[in-house]
Amino acid sequence: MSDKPTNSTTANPPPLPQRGEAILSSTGLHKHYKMGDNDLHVLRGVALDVKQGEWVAIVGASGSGKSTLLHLLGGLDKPDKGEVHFQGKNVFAFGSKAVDEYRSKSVGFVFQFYHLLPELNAIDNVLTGAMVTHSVLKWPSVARQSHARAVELLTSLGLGERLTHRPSKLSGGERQRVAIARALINEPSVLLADEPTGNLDEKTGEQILDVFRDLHKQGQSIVMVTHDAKVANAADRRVTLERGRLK
Amino acid sequence: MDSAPQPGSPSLIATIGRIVLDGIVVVLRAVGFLLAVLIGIPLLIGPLLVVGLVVLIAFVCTAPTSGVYRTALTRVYMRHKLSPLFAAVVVTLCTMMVIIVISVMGGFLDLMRSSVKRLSSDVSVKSGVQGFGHYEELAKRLEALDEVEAATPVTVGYGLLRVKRQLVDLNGKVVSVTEQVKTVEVRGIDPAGYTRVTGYESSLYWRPELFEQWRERLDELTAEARSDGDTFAAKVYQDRKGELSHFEGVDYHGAGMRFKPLDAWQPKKGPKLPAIVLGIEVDPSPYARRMRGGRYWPNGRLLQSADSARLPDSMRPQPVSLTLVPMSSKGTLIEPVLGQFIVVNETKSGLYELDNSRVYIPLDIMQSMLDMDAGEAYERPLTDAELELLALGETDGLPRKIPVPARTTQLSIKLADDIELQAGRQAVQDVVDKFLADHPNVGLLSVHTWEQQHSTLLNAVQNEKGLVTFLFAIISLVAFVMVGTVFYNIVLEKTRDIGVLRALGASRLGVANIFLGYGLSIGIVGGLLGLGLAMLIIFNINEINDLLFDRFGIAMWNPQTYYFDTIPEQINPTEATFIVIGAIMCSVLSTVIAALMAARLNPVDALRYE
Repeated sequence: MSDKPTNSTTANPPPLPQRGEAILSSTGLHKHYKMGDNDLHVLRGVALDVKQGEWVAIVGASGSGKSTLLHLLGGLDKPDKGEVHFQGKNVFAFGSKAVDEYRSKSVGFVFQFYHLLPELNAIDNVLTGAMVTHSVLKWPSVARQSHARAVELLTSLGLGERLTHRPSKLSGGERQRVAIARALINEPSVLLADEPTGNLDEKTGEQILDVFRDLHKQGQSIVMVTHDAKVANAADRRVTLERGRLK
Repeated sequence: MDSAPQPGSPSLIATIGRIVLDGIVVVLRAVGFLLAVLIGIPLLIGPLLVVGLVVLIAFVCTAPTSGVYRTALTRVYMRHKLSPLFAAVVVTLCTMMVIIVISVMGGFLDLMRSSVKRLSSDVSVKSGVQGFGHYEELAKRLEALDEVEAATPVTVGYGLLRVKRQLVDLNGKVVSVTEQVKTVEVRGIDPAGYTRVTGYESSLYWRPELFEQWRERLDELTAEARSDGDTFAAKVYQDRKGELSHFEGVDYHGAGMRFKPLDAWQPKKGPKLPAIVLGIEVDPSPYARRMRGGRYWPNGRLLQSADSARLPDSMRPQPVSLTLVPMSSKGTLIEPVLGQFIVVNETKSGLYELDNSRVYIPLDIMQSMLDMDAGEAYERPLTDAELELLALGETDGLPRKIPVPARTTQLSIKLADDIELQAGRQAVQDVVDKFLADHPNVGLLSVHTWEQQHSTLLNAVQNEKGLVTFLFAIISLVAFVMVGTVFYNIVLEKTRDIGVLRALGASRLGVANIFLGYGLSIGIVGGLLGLGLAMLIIFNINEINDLLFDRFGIAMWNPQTYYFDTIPEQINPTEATFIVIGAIMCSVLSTVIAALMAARLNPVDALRYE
């Protein structure tokens, strides 16, 4: 990926919004899916503002389009209609390269099923996030620094003893912490979490929730999809997605 | 609804895009064909090479500025999966196979060319079997040319060679006689002149240094046997060295060059016999077969030894008989003539076909046997009445006799060093045309280069090389399709990882490049390993052949089928380089589909992939 400044949402970013200002917003998001002959209209004009430092929980029934909304907010999928704005700029307006850069630098994804790369150990999984943003030529100059940050993140998440363990040797909770560390390696403005506790038992889920609480305290903006009321209650704000619309 | 494309409408853009793409395809194909013609590979492979090269260059150029995860993941996938190992093995074997085939066939062709060239003159002027006169004049005119270094007459005919072997008891009494007959191409030559136009002298097999080499080799073997404690073998080797002494000190080389048997070799009774030099495989008797390793042992052959003078005629190798069928200058057959010759040496060109069928005798003997020597003839054919008069010994009333020049069937010509073959041929042709104008009775003369003369043989091998290489390249393509399926499966297996990478910000191109890099790495590893293995095999191919024969009785290389006694051990560096580059490019190309598939994956679908 080029390191040259590009005409993207993240190049020459405007001054970061102050706490309380909208950092990520969507307007009139529509998304259709074709399922055989059926046309599923999953999102029907969703508008959402996420303020700097805010923790927003999106709740809703299964299949209500929560994950789809999160994917659109994170630039992982494209809306059929409507816009996603990050720091006031339309994420999809500057081509696929700008969207790729947005995903790598501005947002961080945490998934329900962790999605770690099985061949890599914990620290290398975290570093993958950093490797995406740096070119072969630039990497030698930042490798040490990135490595130190990965160690720091993992240690702060209680994985200081598990740095060189592969995912198969880690528990569910530990895997999710590695995934969170990977999402944070590039210091994203918004953390997008898709049911991060959905695959964990209650106790471990609570521990992961504590991690998010800590991050939120440090000012991290979080958008979290969940169907767990307890998790949703931890957020600043809770929005419900019902029949493709936010309530 | 108006369906005409509007400026800037998607259909117009698509049309323009298609035209541009078509243009690129046409250009790539044209460049590919051009490349194929330039480097002499099958036409269809050219465009593939070019596409591979473009992908490769694009990949290499974008590599330094692209995300470091690409190279890191390629490395990880290479280490942690068994399938890339199989793919690398396939690439290794294909590269090795094609290099071995093209090298052995190429070496075979080179050897064949040099062997054919060794006993062929650059250019030949040929007549029909009845020969042509005034050849000395033509030779002089040709030698006066700057383009020609030397010209010598050669009379070519076919005959039957009869080899007699006698078994005698200790008293010299003949116990049994075996006779074998073989069809041979007989060449009447002047050895000195023939050496000036061909490698005749260097092809004479029996020469002093050969005996020297034999003796050293036998001493080595004796020493080895002694150090192994094998006294029996040591004694056998020393006995053989003793046998060799019968042939040492005899000037076979001189006899072969002068075409003069030593006096000691002449039969004690009867007239003195002329010399003959046989191709080394001509002697049909089982005693004269080559030994393992391609060398020939003098004992048991038709060579006279140093003891010849002391032995009775019956105990010495018998003279060979040669039957030729002469033709008059008018082309009519005359009674076959028989001549007896003493074998003075043998020639080895390395080309089995020549060594198995060619014999050399002195030009004057050949001419006189074929009735081609200078003499007199009646100025017109005799009538029946005149023939009756002749039978009665009457000479009155017969037509006048006129002198008839000696004839030969061809002039062999060596061109000057810096003369190009076709230019030399043309210069000779011009002189021949003038000569024919001056001597209208000579008949037709044709001018050939050595390549034209042996074109059937050389082209056959050349075509065979092309065909076999092409077939193996096709087999390799099949193998590369298999490599492609390996990568296809890897992409399927890694679908979720691809989704994760996209979520982390990897671009479509970046994801595709992971797999192209994967293909490139496998191509480089496989290509270089294949080259190494091919070199290992080619440079030891004769040892492998011997080993297979010793252990399993399998003879890969039968010299009687393949012209040469050893398998050529050579690699053409240019061809090998192209093959390795081709293997690397095919390897990259075979991953293109998988890479495109990975790039086209929707990240959301990829993350959901089970």
